Amino acid sequence: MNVNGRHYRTIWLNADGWAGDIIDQTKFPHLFETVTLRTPEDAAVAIKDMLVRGAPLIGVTAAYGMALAMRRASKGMHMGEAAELKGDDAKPVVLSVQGVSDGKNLRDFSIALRAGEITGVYGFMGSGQIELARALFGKVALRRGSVRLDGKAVRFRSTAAARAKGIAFVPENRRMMLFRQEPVYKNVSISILDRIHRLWLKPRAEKRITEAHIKDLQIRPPRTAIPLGSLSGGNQQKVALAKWLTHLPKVLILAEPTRGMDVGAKEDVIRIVKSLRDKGVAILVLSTEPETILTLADRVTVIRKGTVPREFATGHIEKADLLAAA
Amino acid sequence: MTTADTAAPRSFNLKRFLADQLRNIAPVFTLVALVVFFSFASSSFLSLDNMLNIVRQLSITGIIAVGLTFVILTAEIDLSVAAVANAVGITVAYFTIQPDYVNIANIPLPGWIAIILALASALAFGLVTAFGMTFIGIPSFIMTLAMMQIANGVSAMLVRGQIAYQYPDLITTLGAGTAFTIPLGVNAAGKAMFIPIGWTIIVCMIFLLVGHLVLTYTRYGRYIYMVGGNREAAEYSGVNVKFIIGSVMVICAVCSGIAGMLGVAYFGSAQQNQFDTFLLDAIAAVVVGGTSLFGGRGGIGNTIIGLLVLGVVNNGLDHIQIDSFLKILIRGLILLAALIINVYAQVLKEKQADLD
Repeated sequence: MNVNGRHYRTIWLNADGWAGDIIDQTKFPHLFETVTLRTPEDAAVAIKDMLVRGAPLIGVTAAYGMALAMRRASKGMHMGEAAELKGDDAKPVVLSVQGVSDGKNLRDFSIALRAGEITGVYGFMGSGQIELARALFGKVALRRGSVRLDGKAVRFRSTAAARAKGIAFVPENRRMMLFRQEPVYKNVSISILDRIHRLWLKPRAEKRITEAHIKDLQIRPPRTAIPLGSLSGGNQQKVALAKWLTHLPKVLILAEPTRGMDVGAKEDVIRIVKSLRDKGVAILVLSTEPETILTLADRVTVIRKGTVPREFATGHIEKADLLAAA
Repeated sequence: MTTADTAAPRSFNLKRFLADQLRNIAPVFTLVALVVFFSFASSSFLSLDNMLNIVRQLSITGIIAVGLTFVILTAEIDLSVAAVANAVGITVAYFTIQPDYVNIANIPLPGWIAIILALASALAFGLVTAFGMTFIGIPSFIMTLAMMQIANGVSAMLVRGQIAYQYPDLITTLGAGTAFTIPLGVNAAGKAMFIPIGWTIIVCMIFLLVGHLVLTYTRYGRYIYMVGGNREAAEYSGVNVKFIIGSVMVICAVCSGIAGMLGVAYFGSAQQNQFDTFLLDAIAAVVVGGTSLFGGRGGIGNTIIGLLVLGVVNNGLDHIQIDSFLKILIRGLILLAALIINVYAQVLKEKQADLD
């Protein structure tokens, strides 16, 4: 079975539709079968049965509330329909963006990223998220407004300048920041070579650092010298993250951090991002999927046509709230 | 769960190895085949004397090719190398006192100042190219085409159709002097035989060695390969791509300039258009050697093999009875074959990556 250029023997779908972004169910109805499940035992039996039959692609639709059982049975996970936000205004602002415009997609946009918080930016495609991430990482220039890092005004002329100041970015398409034909360790070390040695390469140090990341992030297969292209998508995404983890950045910008990933890797990435938050990194998560935002974010800013119609800092929030605001 | 999560441990795979190494194997194979062919086709080809001759003929091209390797590794191209070499060679002569019969309105200066000015002009050519490419965004192909014309213009303005014959002593020594001789004993007539090793060969070898060390063992070298392999990814990894691209253009111009200075001394004269064949030769050496035109693959080792292939072809064709006009065609065909292998190696490599 080939979906989006990747080979899958089996894809589990659960009630939360976490695989909905991998494959559009309505376009391939013949590939899906629906099983209604009532108890966790039902789920286990149904899944085992399908595995035995060697079904090429299996859709499991369970009633809402079965998520826990599904998770145990298929190592799936429950992605947020709702969340309790925990924005804390007492935490120090690391990156403050005031009224920035890029002349096209961003208009008078403001946001404050706080240490030890994940700020989600939710918006539809084309609402200015992509431009925001690139502007903060020094890839594109801003026309108006100010960006302050630790209280000091900054204006990055290149991505190298942004990196030197402690800004890290993982773009929405991991291919944009990975070298498929190069070994894993060169992919990990490219962002920290200057910290290993100003002039010379130290391949042994690069491999040692990469091995530590492979262990921490459970990257599979656990080898430093194989070409990155031979890893699965989820593991490639972990390598993309690993690039920024040797020396913790002040600000980590993640665009669509879990899009198109298989479940195990998705869970791992969420765990990694949350642990970075707990270490005090100010994290910005941009997504067009409300579930991603609700799973990760401590506070949410909605972006619409490059500007901010609504912010959510604390309290209960549901998917519908985001959709209504965007 | 996806199957892709459980990649099997890799064992040695001949197909993968060949796909990986085609660009390195093919040039070596070509070199060996050519040497064998010319050895049988001509009795005078395979001699120590002639081998050294080949190396001597290659040394100026070799210096240019080092700079060009840096450029091509970043997936750019420099078409101005020969013109820059020419202009810088003429510049160093322009600032040197010429014999009475040379009718050039030149400005004689002490030798070391002339050399510094010539190096500065090489640097200036490189900086203008770098500026045009990185700040204005002109593609290297067209930017260096313009620089080729500009450098040719500078050459023309300085010598105005005349020929200069004098250079600073250091340049004359390095370009035409002998570094040391290898004694070969005494021949049948009782005369001592020896082989002179020119300074150009030494200089070329130093350039190749330093180029190799920089590309293989320094952080800067890694950036060059990574920028060539995937420019966007390098930028998103926080690499200053503009600096890398700009700097390789400057390095290439300086290499060309030094080659130009040694070249005029090697030729014994400085005049317009005398380096014209060096453009194709230098590009051909890099590409025939197997450095990818798409960037990120290859290196100085490939360039050395490419230079030798080129040198053997150029020299070997002189040793066999063949129509001299046909030689040009044969060189073109060899370049075409190298290009096909170069592109095919890339396609194979990408196919292999997609299978993974």
